Amino acid sequence: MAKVKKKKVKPEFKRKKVKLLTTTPKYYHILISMVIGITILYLISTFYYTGGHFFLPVDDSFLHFHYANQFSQGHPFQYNSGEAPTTGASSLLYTILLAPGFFIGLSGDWIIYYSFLLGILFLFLSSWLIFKIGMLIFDKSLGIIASLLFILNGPITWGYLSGTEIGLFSTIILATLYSLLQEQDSGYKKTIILGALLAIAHPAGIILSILFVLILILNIILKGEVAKLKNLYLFIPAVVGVSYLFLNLILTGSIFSTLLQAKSPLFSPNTPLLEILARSIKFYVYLLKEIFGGFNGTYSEMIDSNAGQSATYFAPFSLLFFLLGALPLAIKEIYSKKLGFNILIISWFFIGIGLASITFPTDYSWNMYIIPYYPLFLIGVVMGIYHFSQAITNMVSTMPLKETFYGISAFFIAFSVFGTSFFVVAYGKNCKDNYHQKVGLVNWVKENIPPNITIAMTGINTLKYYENRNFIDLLGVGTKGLAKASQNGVGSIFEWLEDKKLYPECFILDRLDFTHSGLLKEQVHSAKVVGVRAIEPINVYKTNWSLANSGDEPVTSFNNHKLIDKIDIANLDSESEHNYRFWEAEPGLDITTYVYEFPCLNNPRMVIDGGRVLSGGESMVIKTMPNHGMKIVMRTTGPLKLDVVVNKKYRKKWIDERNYGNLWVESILAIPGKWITSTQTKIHIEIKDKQQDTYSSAYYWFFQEEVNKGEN
Amino acid sequence: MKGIFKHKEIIWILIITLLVSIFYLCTMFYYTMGHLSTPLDDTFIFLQYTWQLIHGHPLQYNTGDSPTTGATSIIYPFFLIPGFLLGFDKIAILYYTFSLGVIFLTISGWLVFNIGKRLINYKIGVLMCLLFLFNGPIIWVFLSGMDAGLFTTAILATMYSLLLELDDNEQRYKLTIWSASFMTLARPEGFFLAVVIFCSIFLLKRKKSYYFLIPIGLGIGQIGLNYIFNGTLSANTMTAKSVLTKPNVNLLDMVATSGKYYAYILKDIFSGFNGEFSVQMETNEGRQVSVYFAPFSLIFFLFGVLFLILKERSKFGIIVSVCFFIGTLAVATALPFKWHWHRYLIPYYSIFLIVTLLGIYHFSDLMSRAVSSFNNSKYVFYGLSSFLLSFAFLSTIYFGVAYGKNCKDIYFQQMTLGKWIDENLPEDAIIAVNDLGALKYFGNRYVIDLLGLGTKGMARSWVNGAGSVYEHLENLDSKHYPQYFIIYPNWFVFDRLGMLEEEIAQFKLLRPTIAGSGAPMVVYKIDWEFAHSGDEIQSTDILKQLEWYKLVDKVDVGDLESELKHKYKFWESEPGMYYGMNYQDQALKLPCLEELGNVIIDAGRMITAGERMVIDTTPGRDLKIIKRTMTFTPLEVYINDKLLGVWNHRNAEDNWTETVYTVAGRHITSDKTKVRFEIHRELKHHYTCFSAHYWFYQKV
Repeated sequence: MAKVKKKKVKPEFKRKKVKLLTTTPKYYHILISMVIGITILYLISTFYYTGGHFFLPVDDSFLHFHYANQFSQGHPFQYNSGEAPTTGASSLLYTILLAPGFFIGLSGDWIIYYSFLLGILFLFLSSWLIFKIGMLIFDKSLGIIASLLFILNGPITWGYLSGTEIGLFSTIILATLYSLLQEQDSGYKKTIILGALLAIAHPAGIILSILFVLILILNIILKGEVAKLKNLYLFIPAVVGVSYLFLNLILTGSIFSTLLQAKSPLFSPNTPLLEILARSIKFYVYLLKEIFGGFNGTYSEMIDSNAGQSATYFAPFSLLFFLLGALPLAIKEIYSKKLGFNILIISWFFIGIGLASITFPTDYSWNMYIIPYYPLFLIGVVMGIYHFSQAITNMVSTMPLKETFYGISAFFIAFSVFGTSFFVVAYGKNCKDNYHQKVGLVNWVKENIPPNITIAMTGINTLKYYENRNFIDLLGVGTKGLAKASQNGVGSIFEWLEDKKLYPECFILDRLDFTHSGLLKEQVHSAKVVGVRAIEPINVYKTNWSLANSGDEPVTSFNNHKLIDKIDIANLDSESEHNYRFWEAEPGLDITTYVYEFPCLNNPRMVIDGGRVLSGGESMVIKTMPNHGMKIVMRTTGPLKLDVVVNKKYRKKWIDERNYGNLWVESILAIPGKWITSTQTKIHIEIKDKQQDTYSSAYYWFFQEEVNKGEN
Repeated sequence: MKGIFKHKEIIWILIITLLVSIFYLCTMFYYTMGHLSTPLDDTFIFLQYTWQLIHGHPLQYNTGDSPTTGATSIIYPFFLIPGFLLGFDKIAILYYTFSLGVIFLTISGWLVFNIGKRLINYKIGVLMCLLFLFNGPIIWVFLSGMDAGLFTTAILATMYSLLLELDDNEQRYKLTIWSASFMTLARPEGFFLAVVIFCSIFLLKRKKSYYFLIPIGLGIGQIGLNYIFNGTLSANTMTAKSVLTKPNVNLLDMVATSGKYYAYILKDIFSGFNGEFSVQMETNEGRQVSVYFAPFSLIFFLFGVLFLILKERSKFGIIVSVCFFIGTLAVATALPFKWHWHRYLIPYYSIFLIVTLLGIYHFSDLMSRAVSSFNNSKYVFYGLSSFLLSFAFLSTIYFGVAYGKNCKDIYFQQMTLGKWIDENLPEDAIIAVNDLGALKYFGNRYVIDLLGLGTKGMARSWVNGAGSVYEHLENLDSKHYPQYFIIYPNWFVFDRLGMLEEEIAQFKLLRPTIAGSGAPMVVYKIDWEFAHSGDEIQSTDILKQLEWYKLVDKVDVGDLESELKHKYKFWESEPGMYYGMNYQDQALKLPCLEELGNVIIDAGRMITAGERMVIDTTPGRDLKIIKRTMTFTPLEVYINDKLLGVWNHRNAEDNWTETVYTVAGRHITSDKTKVRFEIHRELKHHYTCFSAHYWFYQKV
């Protein structure tokens, strides 16, 4: 494309050399005052809505507090002291930062104050960094507007003061950018250190730090300074990031944190790539157009942080200004072979929210997973406003640049003021919900459940933090090995507990449906909170494990047959031993496992068993004796219309039309001995009418004739 | 052939088209578990009409039926004929329709490239072409086996011809005329675009040629065909689906609805701000996010229009803009629905993308002149274009998954059911269906389309509501009563009429994405025992009163033929109520209040304001009007526009009741009498009344 003819461009604001804090003491004080002022508003709102209590808006913060507490007591990465390590705290660096609080004796409620103070500190540091970045890339006016937009942005202040790692992660992102701007021609040493910190500040930081290193390397190559690649310190951020993954691997056997394994839909069983892509793309587009486009949600009078409702994240058209701000300059950097600040902003922003879309495509908690990228976005937006103002003033000669820039920015600032006022209220209400439900529950547990009782609960972090006894985390964030089971559903959780002979005497549940399992003996408490929106109560149950392992044996028996193998469906260990696979009529249906307590057909005994609802089919490899006739017994709940393929060769129909509703039925299929050709036999079971039916399997037993009769 | 490949761009366009098509084919096989399918049942309507055509029954959906225009595109079946002639069977023909889509996509991509190249330069052409080829909805619709690919290609060919010929004063617009003729035949909407183009040429260039009349004449010819075959100006599909054909449609409501829809598509689809986030994919639910265009696309489109008209090629700009506006407005007026990823709009996406990229080009130029740090317009242009292009890639993937899932729906429901019909129902079975594509195509049975796309006369009944559908079926020769219904039961009221004698099979989807209902499609055996049970007066008391009277006329309300014969009209207390579903006509099975043992089925209309009709009478003789209803709202009775009194009767309380109103002979002045009933003026807007049947008796 040809170069365009240049018009005479009006001079920009006079640029000043940016130095340290001392050069701009006035703004330094203004920023501190604003941070303190806004923090006070949040505090007032908290006290107002909680009735004078100080608390935090999200339960996740307490998971960090708990791991930090354990860290300070010499049990790093241990959810319950003495247990196998887990990586439930998503930020290693933040946990380490919280630990000094415990070292100096700030336990209990005090750590909330400590984390809140950290939030204020990060808020100030970030606003200061944004101001400095603004000054470096253009001038003071841009710095002022950028820092104002930052401080007045409701979700940002909500996130920073939430007691989570959001503030830390954002601050390091900004510090890395600032450092990069300062060190463009001087070896990037500080930037490298900050890049390395980024890798341990947040799991997404690992990718961002690797990306940062790649950009550095690419830049060096583009400049033709390949010799510089011998400076191994350039690779430190990537090395730290990869090391963090290895640490996860050593601690838990997976490079991914247990938090991700337990909560991300990426780890749902049988989730194929296409489903992941479609869902992530949809969420990514939603984030871009709704949150960053500034056109979020539908109007509702209620404040609900989880419903994707209209909230004041960014001013309308913000994304457009962001694109006009950083994107052309990023392209310019590519053309001029000087990859730097703009390319980093663009790639971190788009890849960062891409990562959030892939790992947590949910609009919970004001989309808190993407808040760390908001400061990047705001820098781009202010650059866009600046460019747009330049364009306007060059087209309309009567409009002066500075006034135009401030004029357009005023719209964005006004929106941010609305954002702040909205999120101040939201923060107070969220704290109220969290306080009244969780603290009420903590007190009840303290008073009513003796310390020697084993409790299983669904990742209620506040409870774990305040009542630090041995809990089983049914979601698997804190308890090693349960994450995969929890992704498979209640059936697998039951099987896991049963298999490990962990029989918690009490369940505390805010999700997971054990209604028909027979495990819930009595509901003894319900922690509710009255609010404008319906909040699921947290229920406390006494449990009944008297029927544990009742499902291990079949009712059916055969003369002259011996049990050669068995598979306990939904028990992941048993499944894994048998190369068990299941599939759905349509990939991505997310039909999960169940646990039921039913009597058996023709046998009054009650049996608890877990199993799977299958819409496609299942396959397994079992031990067999060649040429011995076999009988397959399946424990199920309803009719079967299946095709069975043995050793990929022999096919048989398995039809059983008995449908007794709430009864366990044991259905039998005879397999001729000649089909069993080796000591390992592959059984492939598939539903006959896809999309029409589902069936459930809970247990398989494989009996073979003790005597080889040849033909069957 | 060699000549074509001299243009190297054809090669990379073909490669890209093949790559995206293979991806879509893979998702189809992935979700259908290895089966061929299409994302829409309507594709099979085209295939059925083509099948009939090559077997010597053009325009007959069932052999021997009256011709119908259920295939919206008159020429698309001719493109499908070679597939059958080449020996593709009824399933394998889907490879042919898919390949046809690939060919149209390639040609369209090439046309977009050439338009971009001619408008600005080669690079712009390439970018435009990439944006087009990677747009998910466009790929989805081209590979759906429908006529949209053909229509889009025809639009682009017309635009390109126009671009070539518009600047040349010596040109006679031969290419444009040919392309526009093709466009007119490709879809009925093409006619409007052709009119726009030739009016514009006439007005802008002062050029007139009788050849312009060719495409317009072809369009009028199609309308004429509709009139001859259907008795309406619109094709059957339009009658069955459009809001314009609903009873009592009025201009104000039409304007409001289309205006609302137009604003919706501008702000949601073309602006790139469509929908809300939800985890599940749902094709027909406009509330959820889908990836049509990048945010803010509309702004750049408007820039493009502005620059095209003001700076570049004003005439081309005006024509393209007006075509886009008229085309999308026609959709907004006739089919303001969110179905099937807004597929009726997709042919216009190509124009939108071309102009949007032009907008970015000019906007970038403007910005680079004005902003010191952008010292070359390519920084802004490639920056913004890369954003659009990255969005397009996401859209390709998203719609690839959608394509697979939609194909899965059609395979496991309509196609499987079609094959089930062929294997399980008697060969002479008559089946009434609400999805007529695959069920007929694979089922090979006589079908009655309850929506009226393939069955003459049914479309009007369908838009009138359940009552008219029942009356239409009841009026068939009893030998032609459908023995089976294969329907989504929640679309109709047949269950309430007790007609669904036995459920034979049901075909469900675990998670439907494009199927018309979340409920299963069910096969029922039908009980016609109560057919015509409502034709006669049931009340013996009334029959006694009529001893010295004879029947001079009767009107079966809800039966469109009977209504037409009597110039029956009804009107509503609020015009446009028929847009909603609450006041459509209904069929009911109720006992008669006066003879509780008699249970009958009758259909009628829920009247919210009034109704009128013209009946045969003998002047000077007393007239007794007998009405069957199940409400008791007092009515004002007008004879020949003169108010005679108020018709009160007792409350039937969910039974049929029959009631008499006597008109003195002096009010009957001729052999045709205008009878009008209006809801009592004090009760209008508060009560409704149900009219099922009127009988008119006069003294012997």
